[in-house]
Amino acid sequence: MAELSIADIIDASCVNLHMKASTKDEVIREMADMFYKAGNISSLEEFIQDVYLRESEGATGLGDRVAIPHGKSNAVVKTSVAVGRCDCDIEWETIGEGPSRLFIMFAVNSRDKSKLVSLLAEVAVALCDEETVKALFLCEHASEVIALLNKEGR
Amino acid sequence: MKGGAGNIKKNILTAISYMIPLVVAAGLCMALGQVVDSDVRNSSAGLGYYLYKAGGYGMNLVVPVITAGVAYAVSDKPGIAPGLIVGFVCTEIKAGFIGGIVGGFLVGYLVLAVRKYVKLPKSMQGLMPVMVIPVIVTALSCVLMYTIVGIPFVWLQEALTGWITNLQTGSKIVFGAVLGVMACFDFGGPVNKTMSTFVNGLMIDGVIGPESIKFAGSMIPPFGIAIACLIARNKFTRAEKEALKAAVPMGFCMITEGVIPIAARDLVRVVFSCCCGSAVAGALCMIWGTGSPIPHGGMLTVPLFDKPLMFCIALAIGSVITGVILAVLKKPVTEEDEAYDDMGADVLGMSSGDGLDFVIEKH
Amino acid sequence: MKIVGIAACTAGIAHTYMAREKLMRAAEKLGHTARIETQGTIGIENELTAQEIAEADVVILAVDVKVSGEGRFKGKTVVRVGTAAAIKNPLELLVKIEKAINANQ
Repeated sequence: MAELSIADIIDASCVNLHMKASTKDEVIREMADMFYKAGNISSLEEFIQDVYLRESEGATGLGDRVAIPHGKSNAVVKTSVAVGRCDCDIEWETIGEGPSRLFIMFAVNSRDKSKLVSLLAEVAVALCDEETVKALFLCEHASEVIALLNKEGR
Repeated sequence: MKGGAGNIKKNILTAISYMIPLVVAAGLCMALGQVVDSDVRNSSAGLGYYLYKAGGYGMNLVVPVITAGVAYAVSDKPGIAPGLIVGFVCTEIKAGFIGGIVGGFLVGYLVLAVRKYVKLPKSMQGLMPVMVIPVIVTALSCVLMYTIVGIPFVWLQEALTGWITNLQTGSKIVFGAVLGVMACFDFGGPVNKTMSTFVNGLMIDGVIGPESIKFAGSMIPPFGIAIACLIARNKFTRAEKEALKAAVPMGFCMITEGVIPIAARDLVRVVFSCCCGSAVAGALCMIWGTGSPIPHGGMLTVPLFDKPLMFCIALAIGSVITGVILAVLKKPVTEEDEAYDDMGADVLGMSSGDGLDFVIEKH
Repeated sequence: MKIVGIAACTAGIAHTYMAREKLMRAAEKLGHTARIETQGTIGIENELTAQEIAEADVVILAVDVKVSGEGRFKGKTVVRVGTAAAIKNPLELLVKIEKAINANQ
């Protein structure tokens, strides 16, 4: 089996660096919609519900205007990541405080235990690097985003 | 807490967790109404009347909420609407609490089946959650409930409530004692929860005596152990005395779990003496006809009981029996016993207040 | 200090691994050594060895859920904290933990 990389879980169609959303709910819906259109999830409502379920368990905002909403859901067809950035701040429950503007959303099938899930972990780890986060706020192309998230893991 | 299709017990417990606050709110409103207006049943206005009426409506919602709760736990959101309706049907045909639970599973599994087998063209998929599932499931399960599924539960319910209300004194003692033992046997564990589910069901169907036994059985362990500790201080370790300081106020609020650390060191003796006291209190509750219209709340709700004073006497007698038996049975503490308590994790320090809270333990 | 620990969050997808990474980075910056095990949705990774645990000065559990294998830390000083604190401000957290432990000895 060929070595998997971050590119296997982020598709350029699931990156939107100028989202229209202006509320938390709109962010979640707009990003879930990207997954849906890419065929990564089978049911919008079910997935969104599971994202909210995770939201209810604890803050997904990381501070520094970054949040990582995620859904562990039976509606997920393919474990994957979507990246969304808004032009304005969005109110978001955050460890500590402050709104969010950059969103990295994870979709995982509840039964998935494959290598793809480890790749999600790598994306999360990449976000621990301040330089990477700074760069994510500046880039303008999906390919840059993927490259940035990829660089840390390997 | 949602269990999905497979986990029956978890689904029932989920539904009960939705029901408890409803019953507490409705029951307390009714009881308060009666306190404010002693002739509330013949009133037609005033604060007492409003509370009593509102509480009564709340009580009518109990079975629908259970049914909807089970249906939701099994099949998620689409189960709620049909669950409420089927639960109402259960109330109407007097299939009671158990019928309501079974109705919830009926609805839940039907939702799952419809979602799996009814295929619609993509353009109409939006209709599934708002129309297709609720309508098909409601229609099917309501008809089934009226015609087939509900019947045995109507019968069962009548038999059960009839049996309990007509118990002879001898049977009352046995029945009360068994419930008392079950209520305290595992300090809020599965046996207690089984007993609790059973008496909550009876209470909803209007038989409120056994509910008061649950109160007694839940509060006797902390009170009884505290009495034992007063009688025989040398038979409790330092850590146990500390634990009691928390367990007694918890007991007032009907939370039994506070005594678990004390029971753990000396399980057989503690459980045995708690069961003795609780059995006697349970039997007394049945004989004296005490009753609780509310499923939770501890001493705070006792004033709203039927025969609150008799209940307190039963509770006191049970606690003293537990206390005396335990004080006699327990062995004096040795140094080894003191050490036993230090085996667990000892909290050395804590830090909090700045969002970086942590606890330091010595394992 | 020699630190060992476990990171685990409710979903076991992201926070678990971020907490591990942040703690490791902070430990390195402060001149500690850290080995953190993760218990996530894919199971246990970077499992701690008995030797690592034996040599450690402190065990940090950055966990939001119950983790398996706490029995391994018998006799150790264990610090229990949420993943949130470890992600939010790992440097300050480690400094505080070090102070608290020294004060307790």
